[in-house]
Amino acid sequence: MRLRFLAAIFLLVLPALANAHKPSDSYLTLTGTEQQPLQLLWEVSLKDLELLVGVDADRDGKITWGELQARRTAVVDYTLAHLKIHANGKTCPATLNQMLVNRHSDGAYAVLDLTVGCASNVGKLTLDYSLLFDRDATHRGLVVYRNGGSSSTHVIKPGQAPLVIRAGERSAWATLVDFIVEGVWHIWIGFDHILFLLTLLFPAVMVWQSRKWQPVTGFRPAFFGILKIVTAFTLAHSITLWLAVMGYVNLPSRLVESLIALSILVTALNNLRPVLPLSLWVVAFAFGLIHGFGFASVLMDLGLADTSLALSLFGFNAGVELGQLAVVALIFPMAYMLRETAFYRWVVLRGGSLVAAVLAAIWFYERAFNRVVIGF
Amino acid sequence: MHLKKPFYLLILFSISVAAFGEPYIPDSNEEVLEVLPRGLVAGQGELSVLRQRLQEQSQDADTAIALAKQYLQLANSTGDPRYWGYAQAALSPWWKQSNPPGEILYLRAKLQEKQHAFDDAIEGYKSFSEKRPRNLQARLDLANVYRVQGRYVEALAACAPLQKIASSRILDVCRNPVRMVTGEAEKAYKSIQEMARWASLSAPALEASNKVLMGEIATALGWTEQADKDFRAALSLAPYDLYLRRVYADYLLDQNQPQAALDVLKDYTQDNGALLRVAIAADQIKQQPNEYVDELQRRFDEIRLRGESPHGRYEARFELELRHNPEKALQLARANWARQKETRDTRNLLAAALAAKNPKAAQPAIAFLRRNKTEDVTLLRLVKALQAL
Repeated sequence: MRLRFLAAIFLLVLPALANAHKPSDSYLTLTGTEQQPLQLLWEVSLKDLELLVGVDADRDGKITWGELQARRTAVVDYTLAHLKIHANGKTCPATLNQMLVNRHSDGAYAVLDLTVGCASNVGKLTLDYSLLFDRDATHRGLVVYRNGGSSSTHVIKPGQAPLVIRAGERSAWATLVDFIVEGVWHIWIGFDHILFLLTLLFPAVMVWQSRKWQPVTGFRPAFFGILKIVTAFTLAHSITLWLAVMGYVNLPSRLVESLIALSILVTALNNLRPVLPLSLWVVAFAFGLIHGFGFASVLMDLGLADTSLALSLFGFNAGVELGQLAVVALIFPMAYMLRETAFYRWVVLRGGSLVAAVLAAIWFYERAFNRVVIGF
Repeated sequence: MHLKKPFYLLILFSISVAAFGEPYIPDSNEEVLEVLPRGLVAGQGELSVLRQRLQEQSQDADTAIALAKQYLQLANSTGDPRYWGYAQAALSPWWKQSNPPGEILYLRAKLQEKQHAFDDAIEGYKSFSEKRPRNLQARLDLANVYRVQGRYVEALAACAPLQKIASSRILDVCRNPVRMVTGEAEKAYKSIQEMARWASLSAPALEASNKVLMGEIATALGWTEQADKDFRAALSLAPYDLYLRRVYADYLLDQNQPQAALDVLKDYTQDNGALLRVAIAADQIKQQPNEYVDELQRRFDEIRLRGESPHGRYEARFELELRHNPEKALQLARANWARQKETRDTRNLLAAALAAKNPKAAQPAIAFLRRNKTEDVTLLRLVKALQAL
């Protein structure tokens, strides 16, 4: 009892909010130069290297230059095993030129001066970085990429997809195409956006009359119904995407992601029993504002090149629209043709909405309360 | 602004990487590059055994708990937050579970508290206390988090069950820091005096922290000489206590003894809070150039580079007292005060509002002090000055 109590007091009286320098980081400076392979300066804290490979050979608590040099091979082998660099899908082997030392605000760092075996103007450079992530949940890899006049910075966190840098001097056209592709790709993998769009589209070929879903009578009302929804959604998310990327509005991502899940839930439930006194296009517009913030965080994670902000913003947005139109082009004709069948009313509209609602409810719970249920 | 963020980060990166000059090759093999924390060297054997075992069986809760505890202790003794990250990684299989095994729940809450995720920490301490109703630690911690947030009613309520499972002394240990700021400062001081004999016999670890609290209460009540005595007594009991050194340095700065404040903390500047006070002290004795200020700026920059923000309590004070930028200080102090409301947080807000000649910004803090009947001569002086504006 007494011993336990002592431990209790020991912890309590410690400064509750001490926050010394900073958690662990490593610094990666990638430099591309004309007609030469990529150069990488990689700075890793000696305290972290002590944890990873053991540097203090004589265990006297002091790491000397001699001790660090003696562990050079171990340091290089370990670190390079946790950084895979690819250029357009091809592996770029890194080789050590020399090892140096530098100081940061939290102590000394080993500096690995590396040559990365890829040309500088590669297009798409991928960094798959995992140093320390299994040992330190708050570690970050901080990357700066420089090539001629253009440069960009990136923060790598645990649990992210590999970092993609658009390397080399890119033409405006190439940048635009890159971002259009990213936009389409995001709609394709961003399952929640597709699901939201689908829950909006399902009832668009129907009208709610005398407490029942009835098929619309002609092509024109169905087509313009869809057009209105898609336009409202597009307009809304373009507005917030722009606001967020320009930095005028900044919402925490947990909030945005939770609201996106909520938007699907509400729309899907409204399909089962329409209670919202609003037209679908108003719903699309209101929730579209939230989805725009979701797109913005993706776009910013891609790393905006400083010289081509407008271009990447435009390209990404255009890509998102193209992806959306593809979904509409696929769904609308089917929905229109099937709209008078019981199958459409019961399986597609009601069943689909029910599935969407359940999925969205789980997402909402996961995102708002930071829990894992299904994990995608 | 996000538009400028890439440029801004780039500038930070350049500053940071170039801060101490270019990378270099040391002149001799004997050059000492880094001194490892004492705790790390001493615990090396045990640490590596635990690490090895966890590597082989990452799901083994007992090993994970033991390793996380070692790292927590290391973080506490060195003030180096990377060891919190190490501890979190050891607990990673359970980090997102809604109902992890008992002690993991507790350690996770502790780490969340360190990361200022107060709501998560509160939830964790609560459910841990439900599982282990006789555990004192979690209740003390819970009360402490509430107190830091200025939620004093809830803090006292969190202390209350201690009476049933422990002695009334321990209840006092839990309540005194709250009483200090809720109109019962003198009562709290007396309570500590009365438990002195008991503490020296059955809880010696408490003696030093009790003395620190006495010093803080005496300072708040304006018993200047008594405060000095209490702080010195605490210092002789716990010479390496960083928290104590920081509050004592603050006391000395308020007493216009910057040189003494500098001496108290100058060997502890690896800690940002210590470095901040040293920089202020050096500024007051007109030390030129004041390399401490540059060093602190560099640390803030490197934290930003990670995509995080420096502790608002430190940065607000830095902007006000060293950069003489009351507007920015006020903005930072307000944001920080929305999160936590310890005496220093409130003081930062009042002082910044005063310097910025913006008494309206201080209203919530003034109302908070009134509501809780807080007695603190420095805070009340600031309130008066704000009202005179």
